[in-house]
Amino acid sequence: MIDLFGKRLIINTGKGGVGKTTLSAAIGLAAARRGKRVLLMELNAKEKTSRLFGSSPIGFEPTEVEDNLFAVNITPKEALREYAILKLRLKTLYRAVFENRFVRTFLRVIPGLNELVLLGKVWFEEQANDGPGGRPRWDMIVVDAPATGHGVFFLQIPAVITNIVSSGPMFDEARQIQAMIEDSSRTVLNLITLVEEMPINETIELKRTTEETLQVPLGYVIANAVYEPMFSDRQRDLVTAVRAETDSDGSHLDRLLEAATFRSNRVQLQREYIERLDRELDLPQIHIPYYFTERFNFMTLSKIADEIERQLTGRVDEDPPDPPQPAASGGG
Amino acid sequence: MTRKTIGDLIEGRRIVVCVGSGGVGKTTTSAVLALHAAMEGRKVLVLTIDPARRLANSLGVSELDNDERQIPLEQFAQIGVEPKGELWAMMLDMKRSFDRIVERNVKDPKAVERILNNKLYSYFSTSLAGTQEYSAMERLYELHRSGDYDLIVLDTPPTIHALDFLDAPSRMAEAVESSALQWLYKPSVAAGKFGFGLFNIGTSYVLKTLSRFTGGEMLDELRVFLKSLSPLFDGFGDRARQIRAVLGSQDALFFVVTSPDPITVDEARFFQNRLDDESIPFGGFIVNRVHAPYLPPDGLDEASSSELADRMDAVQLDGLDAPPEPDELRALGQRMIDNATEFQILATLDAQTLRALRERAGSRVTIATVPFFSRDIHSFEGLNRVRQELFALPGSTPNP
Repeated sequence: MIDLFGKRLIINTGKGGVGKTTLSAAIGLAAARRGKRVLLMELNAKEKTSRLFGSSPIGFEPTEVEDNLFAVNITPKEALREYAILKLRLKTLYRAVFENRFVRTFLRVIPGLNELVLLGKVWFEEQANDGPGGRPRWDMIVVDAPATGHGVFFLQIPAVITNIVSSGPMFDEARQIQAMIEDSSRTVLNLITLVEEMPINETIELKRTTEETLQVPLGYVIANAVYEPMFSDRQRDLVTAVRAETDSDGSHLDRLLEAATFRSNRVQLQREYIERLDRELDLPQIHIPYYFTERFNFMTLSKIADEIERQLTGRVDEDPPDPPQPAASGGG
Repeated sequence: MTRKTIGDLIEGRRIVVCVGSGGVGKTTTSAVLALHAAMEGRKVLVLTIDPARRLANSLGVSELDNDERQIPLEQFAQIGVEPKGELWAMMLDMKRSFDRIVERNVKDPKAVERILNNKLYSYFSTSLAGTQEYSAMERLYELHRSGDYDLIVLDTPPTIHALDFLDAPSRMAEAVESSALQWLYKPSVAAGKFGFGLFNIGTSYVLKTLSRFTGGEMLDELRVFLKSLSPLFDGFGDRARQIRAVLGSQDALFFVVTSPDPITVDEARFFQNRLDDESIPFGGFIVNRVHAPYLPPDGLDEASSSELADRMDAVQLDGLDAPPEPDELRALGQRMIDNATEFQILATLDAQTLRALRERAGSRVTIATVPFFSRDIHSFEGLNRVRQELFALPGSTPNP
């Protein structure tokens, strides 16, 4: 099994709206509770992490959102600025050249530059060794990868660049980044999905493209918002039987039967989708239960962090392959 | 206070665009809007960027590609409806679309070949921020101009920054027309100086600084590539302005698709503001996956639970191996209440979010909702069911 908490760089990817930001924050929170010093990185996003922690808005400089847990939101513009000043060693030169309107236009068409400076910032933080006693600045970095239209494109950028040029600063930078993201001793890529048809299809597709085009070590498939069963098989049959004989009249009974059918159908569908993940992806899974609460609040986040801790330690110590089963067994 | 229905709104429009954050159901919504207009008698094309097979499946065609395909009438017949118009669909292949732009605008076949084979080209045509959106817009415009369809519905790609695709044509035009780029690929411009105001730095100095940063090889590659692309750039500005003019006209209408999640709704509001800022006709919000309330506002009391068991007991049940015991029914009744209570929390949260959206968006903005179905929509029948909800047609049922 992959020791998630033993990695230094955790990259979470998945399509938009599946809960990447929440689950990234939850993994970070779980690690921070273990005493690790953690940096959460949102890249080029409409920053959402602050809403989870109820903190002030998060920007380029790290904000401590919980004990040991820091967060940043990095835009290409800021990352480029930091990187350029580092390279040029002169702020005035940076301003004169890079903040010129024409040069900005020009920079926009340099292939992969935006993505590269974002990944470069991740690399920079990963390499920083100014922690106590010369230790790394961060024990763990959790990256909430941008949800682009094309899967892991973001991570392919170093390869795109080394394909275009064979030398120079961008080439060197790309090589360093590639070495980091391909190193299975420190890096892991998790695929996050909702248990619905489209996200599941895309996750299967994502794994295929990842394996074909990248050497990034894959970690867990994290299935988000999994309904816990409410009804046994017998109860489910009863609901179906009663519903067949009841008028759709909007009465209490009618509405409750509808709610029960909704739950059963969704539980059943999710079970089929998870079986598909089992069958088609050879990856360990984490199942995050559906919480019937507001999505973006700290209490929910905290529960998710506990659940991740529970499922991961369960796996690391005892290796039981089954996801946790809720009290009501069978049925839906 | 008059709120128009989605049906009123799309009537007479020639372009409908669905925008919104990722994962909110833009593709399905686009297909449903197109289906509706086809049912009402128009010849409609739904233009999707979603490479997933699902839309093709639910429309009943084996696959969608860069060519327009008509949805067979048997599809309609199978679900017992008859369209007065025609429904067509196509999937926008980003790379192929950009290839077309090159082929159409660069006259010399050798030059076309040189561009398509350049190693920067595949990055440019598929991955450079804005190019995909530009391709989509240009294709939309081309189809619109052809006059082959009464209505084109466009499903937009998810963008990191809302409405990138709106700016894409003008940003592309601005970029290629700017002296910054021209200086790279047009020798006559290269002789000049940058507009650096006080500094008035020469281009060679800028170039030197940039190459310290990107490497000279990258700049050379870029120079060669942009030079080969330059015939394409000539008409860019004009086309971009034409596209923009159509999108801003009364021929077009934009819907913002969202889920009832507060953060997604915030993003949807942001989209709306951007559309207003840009004077783009905004049609309203389409909110997918809204949880239905299953309980009365005050919940159900103890008495209701036993009444429930009695009512279930009174139902004649066939096809069960063993008839239910009274205890069993009471336990089931309680379980059903627990279940509905959980969903009630979601229904309440969704209702709050929708109320806030209504207040903030203003009384004249149309907000149409589609319930969260107990099964995913992946058939033609499913699309039609969403249509019944979205257009509030008779026969719509909250959760069949």
